[in-house]
Amino acid sequence: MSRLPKGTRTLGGNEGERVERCRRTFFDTFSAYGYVPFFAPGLQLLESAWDKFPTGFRRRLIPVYTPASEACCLRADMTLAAVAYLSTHYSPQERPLRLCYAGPLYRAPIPPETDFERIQFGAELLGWEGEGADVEVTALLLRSLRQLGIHSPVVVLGHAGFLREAMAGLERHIATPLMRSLLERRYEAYFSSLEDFHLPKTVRKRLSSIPRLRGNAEKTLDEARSLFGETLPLRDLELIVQALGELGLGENLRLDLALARELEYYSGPVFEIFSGNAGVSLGGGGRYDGLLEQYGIVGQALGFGLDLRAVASLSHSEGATPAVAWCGGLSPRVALERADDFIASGYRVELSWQEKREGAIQLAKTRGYGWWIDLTACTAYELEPGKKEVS
Amino acid sequence: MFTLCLPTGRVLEEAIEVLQELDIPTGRLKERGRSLVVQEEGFRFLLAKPMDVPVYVHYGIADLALAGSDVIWETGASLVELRDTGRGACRIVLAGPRKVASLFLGHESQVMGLRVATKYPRIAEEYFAERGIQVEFVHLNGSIEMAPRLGLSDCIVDIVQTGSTLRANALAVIAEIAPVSLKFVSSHKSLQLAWDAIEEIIGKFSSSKKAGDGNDEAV
Repeated sequence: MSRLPKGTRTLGGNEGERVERCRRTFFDTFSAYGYVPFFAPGLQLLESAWDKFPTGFRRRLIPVYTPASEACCLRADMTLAAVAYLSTHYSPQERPLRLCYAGPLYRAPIPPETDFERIQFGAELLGWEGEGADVEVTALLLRSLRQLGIHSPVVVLGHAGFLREAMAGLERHIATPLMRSLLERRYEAYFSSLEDFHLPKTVRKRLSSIPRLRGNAEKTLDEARSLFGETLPLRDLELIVQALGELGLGENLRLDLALARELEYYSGPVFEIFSGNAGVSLGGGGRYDGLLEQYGIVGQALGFGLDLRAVASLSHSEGATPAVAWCGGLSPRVALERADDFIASGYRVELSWQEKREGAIQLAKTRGYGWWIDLTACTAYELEPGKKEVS
Repeated sequence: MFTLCLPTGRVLEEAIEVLQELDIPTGRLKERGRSLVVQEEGFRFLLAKPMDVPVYVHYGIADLALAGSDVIWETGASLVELRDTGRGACRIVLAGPRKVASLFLGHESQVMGLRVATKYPRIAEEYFAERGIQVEFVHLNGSIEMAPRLGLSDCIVDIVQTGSTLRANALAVIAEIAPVSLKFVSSHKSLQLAWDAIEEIIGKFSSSKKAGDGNDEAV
């Protein structure tokens, strides 16, 4: 018996098809808007990645050596590769730059999860400062999910700058545990830390409101403004909410002003996407600038990553109708030409060169297909008895 | 239907008391017989082994749960810790016979290689690793206290409430690792998609606590 390494899995059959359909839908949607497909190596040099990841993330890297004895890790993050590529292959005058990718990423799993390999789709938009970028990426992402039959995904928006401003006046020994509690979503610990420190009443009131500032976008923004005033991060969020609302995507939006993401390079709006029964998000992303600085780029970028398997498990969209097409002694040229006609009318055909049509029908049943096609008669038959024929 | 996961065993009665304080219907829960899934007035209650409660939340099966801080830490489940109920209070401790306890007062070289029995391998591993002490772990599922007595281990990492079981097995607390109590936790998804319902429940809990102990902070 052939055993797989623990924490990995083979994708095939219906699941493989669904994952591929999702990958293609995302690629089609984003590449239609100028996002260029990007393929990064499966390894990243530890010397380049190490100082760009926070400690908790570093502990999840899976180290390997190349045949040239270079210390690497299995690719754990695509953003670093994307930024490095864009900074070295394009001049500043060519910005903004857009790219999208799909591929495996590797991180040691956090229990109870067991897989260390995940297939991720992502996109990066580099070199545009305004809110248009946030709206563009979020809208394309939601459109893709709708095309995949995921009709009620929820994008939860937060803002890294909002949290930084809220903690700005605090001493480091106060701000650090508070930020860590928000990042780890340990709100009980957050309030407990607040009680430990002597803070002015107004500051305490504001800070203790942060974990409650979530839900309906307009209502949450109003509440936040009443406590924090008109701040740039809130203005950023307001513009995004307004623009997505105008695109008919308002009902897919929630705000969570306590939202903090694992990687520390985020600097502006951040988001996570939820749908279906999964307890954790399908993925997320946000705006970042610190990482660009490390590559000598001035400005901001925006990126996100989504777990393709998780998205595929929620996808309801139907692809082409699968069918076995019996060639019945036709020459390969004629059989392929006639199959092309069926493909053009929405079938996905698997050619059967068997002599007898019963063999082709049996193959269709074995595959679990609902249809078989007689290419000699140019007719498609539904497999259940008494069902329709299509010529 | 709002799904709430509760731990079975000793702590269940305390969990039910917390729910009663929040005016959550518990009639059917109290007369559940052997049922592990109980529905009442818009609530679905799942009854799971304490160690499994965070897992049900992590995978989004339960919207909200009452879980011990020991099992939250041990399972490593990704969830949101909303509020400490202060119920089910106990401690995770390192305990051992007095002879072994005295070793921990000296240089760390004296405790290298000790064998530690525990049903919390993750917590125990983190505790010793942070102190640079290399020990050997024996993973047991219960009756941990008898392991040193029978020579299976030198000491144990376990939860202690009154300490009477430790004393009965000639063990003493060597170090407190962490306090344990029952916490309200939710999945990341439910925090976002069922926030109004969660806020209503947690809000009631906060109000009842505020009336009781003057604590004014809560989600």
